[in-house]
Amino acid sequence: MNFRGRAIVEAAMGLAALGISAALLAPPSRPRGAPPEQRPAKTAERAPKLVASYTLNAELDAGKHNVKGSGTIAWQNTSRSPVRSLFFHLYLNAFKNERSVFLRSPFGASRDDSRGRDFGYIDVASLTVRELGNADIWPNRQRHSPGDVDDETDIEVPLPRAVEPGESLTLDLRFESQLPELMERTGYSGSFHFVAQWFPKLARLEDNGEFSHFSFHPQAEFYADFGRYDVTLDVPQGFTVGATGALVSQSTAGGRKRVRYVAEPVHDFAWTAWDGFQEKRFSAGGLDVRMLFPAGQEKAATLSEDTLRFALPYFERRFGSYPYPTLTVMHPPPGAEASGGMEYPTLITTGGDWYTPYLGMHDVQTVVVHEFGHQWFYGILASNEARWPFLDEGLNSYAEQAALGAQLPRQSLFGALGITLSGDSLFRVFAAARAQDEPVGSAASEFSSFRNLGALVYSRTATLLATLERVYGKARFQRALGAYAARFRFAHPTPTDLLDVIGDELGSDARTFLDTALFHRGRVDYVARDLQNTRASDPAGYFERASGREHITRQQAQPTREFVGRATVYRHGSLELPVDVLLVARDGTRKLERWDGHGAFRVFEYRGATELARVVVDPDHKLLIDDDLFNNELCTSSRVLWRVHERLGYFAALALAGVSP
Amino acid sequence: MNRAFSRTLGAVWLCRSVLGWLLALPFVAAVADSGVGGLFDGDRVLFEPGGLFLAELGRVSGPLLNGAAATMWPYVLAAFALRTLPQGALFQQTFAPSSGPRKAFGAASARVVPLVTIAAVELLAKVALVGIVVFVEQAAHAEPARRFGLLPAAALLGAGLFATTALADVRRGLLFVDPELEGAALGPALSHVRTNVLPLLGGYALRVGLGMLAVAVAARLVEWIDVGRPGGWRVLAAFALHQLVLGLVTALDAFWIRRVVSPLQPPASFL
Repeated sequence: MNFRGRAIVEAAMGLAALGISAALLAPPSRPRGAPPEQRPAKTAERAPKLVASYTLNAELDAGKHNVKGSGTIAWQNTSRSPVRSLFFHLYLNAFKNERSVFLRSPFGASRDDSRGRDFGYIDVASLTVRELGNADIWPNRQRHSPGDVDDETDIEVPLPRAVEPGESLTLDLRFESQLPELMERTGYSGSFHFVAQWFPKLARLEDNGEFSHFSFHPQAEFYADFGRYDVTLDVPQGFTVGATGALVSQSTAGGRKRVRYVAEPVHDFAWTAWDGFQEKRFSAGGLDVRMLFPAGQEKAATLSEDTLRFALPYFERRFGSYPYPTLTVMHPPPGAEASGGMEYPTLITTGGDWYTPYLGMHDVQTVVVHEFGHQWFYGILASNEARWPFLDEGLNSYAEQAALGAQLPRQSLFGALGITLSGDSLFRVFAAARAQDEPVGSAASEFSSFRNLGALVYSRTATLLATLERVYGKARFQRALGAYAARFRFAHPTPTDLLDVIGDELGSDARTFLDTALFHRGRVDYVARDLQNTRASDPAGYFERASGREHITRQQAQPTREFVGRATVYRHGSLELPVDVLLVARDGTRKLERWDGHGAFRVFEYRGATELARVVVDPDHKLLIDDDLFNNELCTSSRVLWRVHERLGYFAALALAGVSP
Repeated sequence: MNRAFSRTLGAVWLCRSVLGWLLALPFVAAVADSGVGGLFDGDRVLFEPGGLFLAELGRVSGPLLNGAAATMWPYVLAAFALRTLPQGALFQQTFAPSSGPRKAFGAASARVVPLVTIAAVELLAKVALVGIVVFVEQAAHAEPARRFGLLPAAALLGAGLFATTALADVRRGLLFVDPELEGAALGPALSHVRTNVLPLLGGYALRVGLGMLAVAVAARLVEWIDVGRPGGWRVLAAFALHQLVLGLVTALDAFWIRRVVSPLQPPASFL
């Protein structure tokens, strides 16, 4: 072979070796995890009362990024008291100017901190009430949110007369929504439109006759009554639409497309329209799933499908059936990532890049499971996300990691080159940094920053629940959460409802633990201290015997062959949880003790043939909530860190080879 | 391979391995200070599935590790400079097969300033190359380019890395052939690479490919060995595998150097 031929062969061999290396190093792009379970059989259930139902028509002007809307709201006073005013959320006015509650902070306080160039707003042209003589009640409205002249997202509309309990109103409305450049999941990016919080929405009416109304705060999300949404969307013909609910009809005429979606019982309606979507449909155990994604994200769509096929029966078996016939999943196009990672009834938006599995990460799976899990906590239970964000985001974060851990046991968040990191581990450290700053159970607007909200509402809550799961056992804890989900299905639960179920299912100690941790900045740090040993001996002193008094001096007392060891475990902080303590003697004998966690400390004694060499608090790492893991163990020897030194030395040598000759 | 060459090869491998271990020392100390050293299972817990203690280490020792990293730069620079000596020793050994490690390292030490200069210029050129490739890849998000994925960027990067490495190593070789050449040697280096591009390309591809394959195979084997489970033998096995990789990489370097310098003078006796 001449030198040219040899060079070509060498180059080919080199490239082949590189290809094999890449295949060996890269984690599988489609991780083979546990197979999906079967969907459980649906049980008959009582449908919730439909309090606020919307029949709307919306016409999208894709050039002006504007939606002209009209329609009807059917609303019933389901409270115990007469209602004299209605409260409407005009969420889009949050993007009207930089004096709104949402935009007034110069530091940015929202989830994505995106600030588009173009602002947006919603104008209501008229709001008439058929039962009140078709009076237009909109001109009588308050012009701004209560107590805030610069904000227009929370508007009170007085009624000409009180609406009695049980009485219904039919409201006809006309409005125009100017979409901002994509901000907080709403708006446009080029021809891509994500239309959320786009119509005048009635605040939820509580049983006591008061509306749960609030300005749109950058850290808060949403809350509304259940109803039926029947929405007809009119968009340019070349656009693909995804929306809440099932498609019931579509037609085209004059260069426009009209699609009609119906959903019930739901409490919101969002939709998306773009002329660049690719589409994939599949059926998962009878659920029609429709995936919309940009070109180049086909692999992400496949990963999302795998994840949903696992997640659907997983969530149903634990939190109740998914009551809708459809699910739409939207992966945003490049430049519109601000619309990703969000949940609406039967519509979720995701994200993550197709290549992240090759880096050992599971971004796509994590965001899909998280947003799909919201269908239960946000969608079906429908707690007040603004007042108690942890009831949705916290429970959902726990459920997300439980699901990912079941599907990908060793690698729920990251796994490559022999290192794995579970979501439980990461949530724990994210939370630990800010655990004492503020109560987890605060309202969303009360948190000092979104960073703190994230650490406490998402990570701290998930860590608390994961701790309860480990302490009380997975089956028992998941049964408890399942009981909560079943009891308050479509019922807008409060924290007291959750605590009561936890108390009923796991006991009063668990209830107290959760209450303290959520509302009183409860914390705990178990600390192992003061490991001591001495040789046991027969007792010395004066003893009354049958034959008379016997005096045994210290010199006379015989030492036994036994050793007595003791160690003290302290509990710092206000949280009390039962904890295991492992005592290990020098000869390897092990003794497992249990402390109920009551009291400030507990002394553990050991008697054996050799000295007590080691005491380990929580050897099975059940107490994820423990502030400091490194003080949980005392041992009489220390270790040379061969693994770390060997691994770091090798990587340092390789890194030097990369940058230095 | 003659005995002198094998001894020099062994010395080069040892030098590189020790440099890696020395650089790792401050980080190991930071990890030990965190409390890991006081655990009965020691650093084994850091490799357990789920990474509970690994994440905790990051939380507890983050500031310490950041501090260690921030103060490391003089040592990294020193290691960067020192590493040119083993490379230079390989060049000397290739040109003068009977040298042996002492003479080889001695000859390299005598040329340390130009060797470090060449290494620094080579590194800057590679950093600039990566920046250019990233910029071009970001700019080329147009539909036709997207169809080929990352292939164009990878090809551009590969070609660029080959060119800079070959040029730098030929220049190093010329340093040992004729030390008087110094700065005027870029022209001859370019000419040499142009004339011998095919054998150099083949040799480079083989060196990089086999080196990466060694790293990848070792990574998979070490993952299977699983140092997160008890057993000192696991640590020894991982250490042995890693040192084998470093040895193989050194041998591949020697092969590449021979390929680079062989047209500069009659081929040295490798065996």
